[in-house]
Amino acid sequence: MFKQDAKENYKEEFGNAETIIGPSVMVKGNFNSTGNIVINGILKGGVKTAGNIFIGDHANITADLEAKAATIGGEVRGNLKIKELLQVAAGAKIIGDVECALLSVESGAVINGKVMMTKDLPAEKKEEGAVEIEK
Amino acid sequence: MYTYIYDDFISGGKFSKLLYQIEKRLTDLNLNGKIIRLGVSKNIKAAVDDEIRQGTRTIVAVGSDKTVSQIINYIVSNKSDERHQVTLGIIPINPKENKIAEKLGIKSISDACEILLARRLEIFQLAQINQSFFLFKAELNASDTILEIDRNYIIQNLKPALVEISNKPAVIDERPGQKLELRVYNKEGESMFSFKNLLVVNKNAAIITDGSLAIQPPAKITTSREKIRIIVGKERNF
Repeated sequence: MFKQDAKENYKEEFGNAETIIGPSVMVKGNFNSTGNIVINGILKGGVKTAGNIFIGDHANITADLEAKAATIGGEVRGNLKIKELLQVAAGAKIIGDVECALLSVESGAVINGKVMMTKDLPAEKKEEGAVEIEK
Repeated sequence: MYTYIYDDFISGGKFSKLLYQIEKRLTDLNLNGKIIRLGVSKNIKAAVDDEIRQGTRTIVAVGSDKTVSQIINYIVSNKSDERHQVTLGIIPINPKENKIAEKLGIKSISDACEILLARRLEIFQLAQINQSFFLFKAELNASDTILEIDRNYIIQNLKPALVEISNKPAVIDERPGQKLELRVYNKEGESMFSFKNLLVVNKNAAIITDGSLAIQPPAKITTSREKIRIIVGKERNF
């Protein structure tokens, strides 16, 4: 179910991605953007966007990430600061602290780090099945 | 006043019948003008500079993509104010070597003559690569290409890849925020970035602009303020 949702989410949110880091491509440095970002390759550095981030199953990230919303499928070594919804898929591995307003974690996903929930998300943005943890 | 610049590759007998037909059609349409045949005694830069100095308002490139690219570069590089009055027309001699014309909706020689007559004008904002300019595309097909975007991050291709830089050149309004688009294709997929400044480094291969001119890296590719006015067809596709 999660995978299906993630795929739908990908189509809706990332069909108009401003940046795509594809497979067999490595990006090093600080990456600032205003649009949606899709990462299926390797990234080392930092990413900051006002849009959404989709990290594919085979992606390998060593970077701090800041975004409006994110879907994680691959491996992330770094801290995540997500304003709205963070979706973590079954094969995902996050090694770092996580800060988000809404969190959805699929069985099998790994998060090694502190998880802190922020509460400034408007009520209508909350999605069914998302987990909200009180501070 | 129209000036037609014939590239030197069409000066042989192979094209004489075709050129006769073009000239006849242009005369019928009352579009006849001065003809400059490039060759040993007349190079393309001298021809463009002379015509701008003499006040020519329309220069028509008769030849291939290379002819068009070179004329665009020499018009833009000309230092005089008169260059801003120049409009570029295109007569494509061989559709296989005239991708620029095709994109501009000029698909055949007979089309080209009618399009010159209709004189539908479009202003294009060019992209700059080192000291040269391109209209639509720069590409490099090689391994070990390193790309640095806006001095913020570096892109390394771990496998051989086709690197394609696209300029979306039609000027609708004068947006200072014009950005170029970089796409990287390898066997496993595609990457896409937008940028204002890109540095391309590769020791082994040249960058080809608009399918015709070769630029040796390292090359700095940026947005540019330079513009060119071109006569286009109704069915342009960009």
